[in-house]
Amino acid sequence: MQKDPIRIVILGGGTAGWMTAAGFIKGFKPEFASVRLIESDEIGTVGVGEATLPQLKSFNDFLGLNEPEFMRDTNATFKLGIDFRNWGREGDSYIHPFGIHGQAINGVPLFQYWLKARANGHDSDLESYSFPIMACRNLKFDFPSEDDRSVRSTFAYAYQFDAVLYARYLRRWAESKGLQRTEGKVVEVNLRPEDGFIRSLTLASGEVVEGDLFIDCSGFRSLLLGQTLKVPWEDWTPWLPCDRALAVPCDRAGDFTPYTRATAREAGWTWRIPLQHRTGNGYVFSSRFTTEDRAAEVLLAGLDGKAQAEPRLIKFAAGRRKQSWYKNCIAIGLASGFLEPLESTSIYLAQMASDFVMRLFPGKDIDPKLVAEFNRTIDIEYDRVRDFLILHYHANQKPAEEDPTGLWRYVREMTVPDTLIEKMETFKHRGHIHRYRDGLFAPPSWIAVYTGQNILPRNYDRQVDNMSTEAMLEKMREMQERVAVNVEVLPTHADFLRDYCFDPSAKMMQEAGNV
Amino acid sequence: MSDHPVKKVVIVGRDDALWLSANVLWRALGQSGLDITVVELPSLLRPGDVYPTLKQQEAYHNLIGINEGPMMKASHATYTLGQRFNNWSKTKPPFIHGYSTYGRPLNRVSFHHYWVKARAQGLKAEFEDFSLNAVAAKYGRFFLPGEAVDGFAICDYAYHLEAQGYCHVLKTVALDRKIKHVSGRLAEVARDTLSGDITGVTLTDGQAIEGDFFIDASGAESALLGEGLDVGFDSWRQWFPCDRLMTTYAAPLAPLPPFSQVSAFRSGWVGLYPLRNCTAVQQVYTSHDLTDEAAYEAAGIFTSLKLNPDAVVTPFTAGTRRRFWEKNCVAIGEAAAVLDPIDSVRMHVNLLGLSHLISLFPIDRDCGIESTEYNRNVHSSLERIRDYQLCHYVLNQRFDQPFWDHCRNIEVPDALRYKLDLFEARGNLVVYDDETFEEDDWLSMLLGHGLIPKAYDPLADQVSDAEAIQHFQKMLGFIKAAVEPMKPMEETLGIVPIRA
Repeated sequence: MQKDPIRIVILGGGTAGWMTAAGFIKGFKPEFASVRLIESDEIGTVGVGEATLPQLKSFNDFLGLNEPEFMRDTNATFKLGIDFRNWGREGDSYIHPFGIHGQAINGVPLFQYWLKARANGHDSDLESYSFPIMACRNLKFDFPSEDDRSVRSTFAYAYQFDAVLYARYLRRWAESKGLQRTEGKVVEVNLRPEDGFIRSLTLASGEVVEGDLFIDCSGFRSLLLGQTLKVPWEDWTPWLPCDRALAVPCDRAGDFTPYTRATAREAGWTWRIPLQHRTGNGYVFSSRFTTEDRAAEVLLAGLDGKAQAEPRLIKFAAGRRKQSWYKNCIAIGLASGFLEPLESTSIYLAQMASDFVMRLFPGKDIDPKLVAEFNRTIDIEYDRVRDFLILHYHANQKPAEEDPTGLWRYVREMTVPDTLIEKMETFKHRGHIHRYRDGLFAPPSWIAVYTGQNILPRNYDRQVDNMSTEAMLEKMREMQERVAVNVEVLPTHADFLRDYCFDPSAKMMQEAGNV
Repeated sequence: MSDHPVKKVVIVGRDDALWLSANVLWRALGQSGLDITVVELPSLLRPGDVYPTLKQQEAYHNLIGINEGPMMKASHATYTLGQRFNNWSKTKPPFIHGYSTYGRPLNRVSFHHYWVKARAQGLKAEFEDFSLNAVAAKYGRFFLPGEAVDGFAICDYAYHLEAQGYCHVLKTVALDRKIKHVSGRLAEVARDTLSGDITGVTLTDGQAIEGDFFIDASGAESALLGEGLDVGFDSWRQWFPCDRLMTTYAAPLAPLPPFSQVSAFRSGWVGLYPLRNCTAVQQVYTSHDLTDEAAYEAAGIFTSLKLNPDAVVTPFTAGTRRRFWEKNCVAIGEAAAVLDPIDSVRMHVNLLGLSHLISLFPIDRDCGIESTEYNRNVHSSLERIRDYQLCHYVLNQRFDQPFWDHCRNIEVPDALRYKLDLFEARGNLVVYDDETFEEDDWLSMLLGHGLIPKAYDPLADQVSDAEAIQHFQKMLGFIKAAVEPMKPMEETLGIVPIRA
């Protein structure tokens, strides 16, 4: 073990900064590493109410957070998936669940049996075989069962919360464990002349903060990795043309959904994220296809409760830094790359990056092999998310009358990455989806998006024919019934949440009709 | 839905690849209206030939519907908890690659990082002492994994199968299922002049068997894919210098060791695989260094066994066909890839191909989408197996012997170089897509050969030494307590009467 602690300096106190800080404080003894976080109250964070992925729970568990307390303090609700509305055509709705569409029969996904039934004139709703989807459709929630034979074990859950409150919660937690937080704005980044590594940051107060390892969580500005170390940017906007978001909270109204809603709009899409005390809303759009004024109009017209503020504008571009770790600087969160929040991947990607840093944590002399491995693994994560997001845009059938701005025609006709073309061809042919070891989005996720956006295979897996059609239909009926019966007995999302972590100050909960 | 649906599949081949293909295909698609015909070519097996397997084999017996007990009896089979590697270093003791997890993680950090740290501080315990399988094997004890180890370790087993007996079992099951069966010698592979597809095969007795889709299970000669469709062979000789496999057998060992033993010698290695009725011997070496006659002499000396003098030497070149699925033909097993015999992967290569084939079984004779996906998946899997096998040769510590000195200097593929470099630098193990060997398989092999990381995960330092020592003692204590009451394998096999 080295003598002096490694000095880690985290720049930026948004969600990524505080998650990284909390992870380091939990993982490293003070004599091993000192962790210091610099943030400026003058610089706002992007957090606007955020939907997450199930992996966040393992991060919280690692810290040892108390789930009901954490949920109370961040106004969190449960999330079982995302409801995509109007993506293929106007009027479409499908749920991408954190789970599967029914249990496999003889090792073959139920989806393949569904395809055969459909081809034989026995059309049924694919969603009716999925426990998490049916729980969503009925606004219900309960924790997954640990009995892996049960249909109630076929899903995972995530949270919808106020990301600003989450960062604040982690800050309290980290500071109570000894994290040193410095309020201040960086005015100068000082490099070591011999190797170009970052030596220190000069703050507006004149203080010079030295460090061995700098974590850039400065958001889109990418002050250290991008602006100072000039790591180039890889532009993905030709495939993901949205470059603006308007965010606005509104009063809680409408269904108290255990899911996030993503509705396709004329120049992008809007999110709706129900929290305990309010609903987070936003419109992600492309400035090439609409104006900010028009976007605000669309956003406000679509709210189901009274707006609580003026819409706030956020500018961005899809893409990422060619390397997330360069010299002694590691960018985490928006400083390393941005993919629009269509599949709630922002916090996940920050979590993965901070997890990878911990697993590949360097000494004072940084071994380039660790840097290479970090960049290799984080690239896999970004690439797999990228193709999946592009699919949502590309796979639409909107006719001109549903596409006044032309965005949807553009994304339908654009050239997509070869990797995605091949995936789509294989799926269209026979519903086959390549399974990866690492990275997000397993076959059930792809099935949800393809079928939900009206891309159906021409053929089905031949193993399905190994069972008679009657026996197959009977098994499918049983599955449907098992899902229905099990969903029926679940508590509603609102009841479950109230029993689990009700915050009496959130009076909107009481006023909401369905509580 | 399809213009030219695949209705009739013809499996041409012999032995393991043939009968596994027939059974797996029948199980997956036999009731689907698919017509399956087996064309059996003369067997190449001889008494005493052995199929050592990997731990994945058991799952396929369940899939195919084979009853393990009777199958094992008919194949004179034994279980194996791992492989023991002997003499791969001139200075280090042998090690066992046990088919189980090694140690338990602590504080989200893999166990091996703590072990690397503790060794540097003077710990005496070997890495294998933390594998239930390896310890049981070392003491000559056997257990059927899953009984008392849940929650502590994940343990598996593999088999040593007497090849003729095993193929007989597979064949009997297939014929009981009324799979159509023709036997003979292959005379000709007929192709469509326009599409180039295979349309049928003709046997020397004049029988012609037509089909829509063909499985080449003919072994290394690759009669359909290689000979019939001219798919070339990529040699892996630059990585695997051995070119001879000598097989023979000796009297059975008593008691039966619950593991196989792979011992390096001057010009290659010799493997012992215990069976109930004999001890199968495979010697793999380079003909540049050793004549076939000298090889037989050497095997006798190195194994200290009286070997059956009727040994067979088979020349081979490790490598793969450029594609495994071409037009309407898929090659399964050695017709697709001849791998070096180290690590007993031959049976697994059959199953690897079959599992991808059934999930991509073609709908139409036009199956370009399936073949592209299949070739990519199988290719990638074979490369990962190759990387694992290669490590044994590259990491040897037999200095001052030309063959082994050469092996240490083999230029390994980039993906493996990357993996070895990162592991050596920091103990982090890269696990790629399509790996057959899992993290603990890699760790036991790399550490066993003496590739000890120069540094470990600093998170291991976040646990106090006292806590780590306690963790170690708990694991060692658990393993000791679990192994002590275990009995020799004969008891599980029911081949030695239990005395009161």
